[in-house]
Amino acid sequence: MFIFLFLFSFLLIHVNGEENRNPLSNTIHQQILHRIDSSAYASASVNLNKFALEKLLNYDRILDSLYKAEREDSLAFLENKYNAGANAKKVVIDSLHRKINEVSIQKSEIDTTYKSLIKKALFSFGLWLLIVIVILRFRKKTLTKSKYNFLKTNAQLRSMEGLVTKADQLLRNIPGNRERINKLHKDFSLLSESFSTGVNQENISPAKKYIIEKTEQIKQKLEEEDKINEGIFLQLGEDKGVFELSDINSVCNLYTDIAFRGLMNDEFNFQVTKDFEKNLPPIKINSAAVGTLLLNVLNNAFSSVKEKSTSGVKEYIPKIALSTRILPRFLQIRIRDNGKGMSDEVIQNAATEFYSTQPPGQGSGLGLWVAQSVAKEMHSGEVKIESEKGNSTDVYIKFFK
Amino acid sequence: MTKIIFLFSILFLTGTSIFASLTDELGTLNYRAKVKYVTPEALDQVLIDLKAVQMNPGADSLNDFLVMDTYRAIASGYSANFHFKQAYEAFRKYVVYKENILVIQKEAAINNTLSSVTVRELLDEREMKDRIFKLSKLESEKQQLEADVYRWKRNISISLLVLSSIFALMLVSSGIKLFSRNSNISQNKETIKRIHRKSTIGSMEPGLSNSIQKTFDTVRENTKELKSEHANYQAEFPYSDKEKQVLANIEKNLKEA
Repeated sequence: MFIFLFLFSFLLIHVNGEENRNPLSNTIHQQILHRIDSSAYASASVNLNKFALEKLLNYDRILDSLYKAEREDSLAFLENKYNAGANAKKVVIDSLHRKINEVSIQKSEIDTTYKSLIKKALFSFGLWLLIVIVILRFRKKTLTKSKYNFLKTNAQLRSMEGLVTKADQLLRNIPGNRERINKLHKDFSLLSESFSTGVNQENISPAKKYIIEKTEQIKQKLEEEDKINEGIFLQLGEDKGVFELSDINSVCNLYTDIAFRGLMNDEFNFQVTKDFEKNLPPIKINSAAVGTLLLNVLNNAFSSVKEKSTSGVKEYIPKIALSTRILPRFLQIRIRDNGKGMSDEVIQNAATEFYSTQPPGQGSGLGLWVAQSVAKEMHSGEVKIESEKGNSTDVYIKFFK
Repeated sequence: MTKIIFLFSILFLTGTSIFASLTDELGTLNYRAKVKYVTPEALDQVLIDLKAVQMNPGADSLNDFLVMDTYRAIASGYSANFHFKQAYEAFRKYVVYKENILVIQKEAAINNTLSSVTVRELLDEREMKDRIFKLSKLESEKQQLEADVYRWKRNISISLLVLSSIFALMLVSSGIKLFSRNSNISQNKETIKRIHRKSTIGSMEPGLSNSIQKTFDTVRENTKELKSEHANYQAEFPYSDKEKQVLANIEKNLKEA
């Protein structure tokens, strides 16, 4: 409305020329002034100039006040119009500002989450890597250990297969040897019988006596040899698990001889002493299994004394002593060696299968385990080890009554 | 270029000198109109001189003020001399001049306000555009960040998955290897246990074979000794045919051994 009035007045001014331009746009205001002006004209036209002047002065005052009011209104209108638009814009700007704040917060949260995620991921990755490294190290250790065990058992197996071949060769020769021994024994028996026929024991000449005795000695030697061969044959054949009443002394004697013969060689020698209890009652045992037990223990004793001997101990005489005793609760075989001895740790693990202090391919780690199995499981007995590190080892094999 | 600068300098100096002289002239007229006890004739002359002054209303506020004040002074002077008709006319000139000036001032004020409003509107617009741009930029950055987070999560997950898979494959392969190796170890151990007894004797084989041979050697030696001992007493104890046969058998057997 104000704009319209303003434009209308503006148009009037321009149509009527510069002289008639009116600073007021409100028609009522214009009419008021026009009325005063007309009155002034009227007064002037009738020569009432003083009145006309006074009216014109009044016109000037009213013009001032109306102009001031209109000017302020027009400017206020423009300001208000602007403010109306500006308010709408301000609402939009405020809303944008809020939205910007919201998005900034969201962005900041995402950024924080992102950073935290990176930290967590790095931590998790580090942890993962650590676990992986630990597992890989464990894996490597396990694989290395398993490879070592595999190579060890493989070397052991190859070495033992070589020994088995030798044992088979021995086994193949035993029947022939025994047959030969038996033939020789038979022939020497015939010869002895022939030499002894018609001989008076009281008047026998020394020469004849010597010949007969020599023949008997040879027979005895052959008998011993046959027994040893039989023992070896028993060890090499399948264990039939036969338990029979046996003389422990004989069994010990036989297998000590076998061990002695098997282990003794030109390069290394050792003393074997036997101290058997007299009148030992026969007990029910599996002779072949007990033989295996004795051979294993004697083998260990031999290894021990041999190792100590080769280590360069001065004035050392390797000795292995075997004794039997009858005690109130049990019958005991004791095998003592003056070898390198065992530590407590070794004694504790000695009967564990595949536990060996020997380098791979040399000791099977089964000797004492087999001895323990034979004593404990087959005969309800016991194998006990006592040792003084560096000096001696005593192995007690007990058969309970 | 120097000519243009020179021309503009001349125009500027001329303009300023004109304005300066106009204000002085108006000042003089104003002074003349306000002289105490001024005569109507003097006022007539001032009016004539004022009318003669060529000026553009609204161009200079001081000049406009001087013009209007001079008209008012003239009207006042005429009035003091009781020349009310001339006073009325002078005052009317003042009113007309004033109205023109007011129109110009009003236009200028409105224009000023309008331009100020326009400027402010432009500033508001710019601010709004800036905000919209900032918002859009933030949205875009946020989306980029979200995409980065998503991509990063995906890449890390894929990397971890791939690495874990490789690691798992390594473990599985190691497990298979270990299982196979342990199985071989167990087989080897079982075989070792099975052949242990035989191998124990096998380890004694050289000694045992040697000892059998030694036994045969001993028997051979003993037999020789026996024969030689017997030969010394051949006359006393001659061999029977049977004994000869047995001895021959023994020698044959020992030879074969």
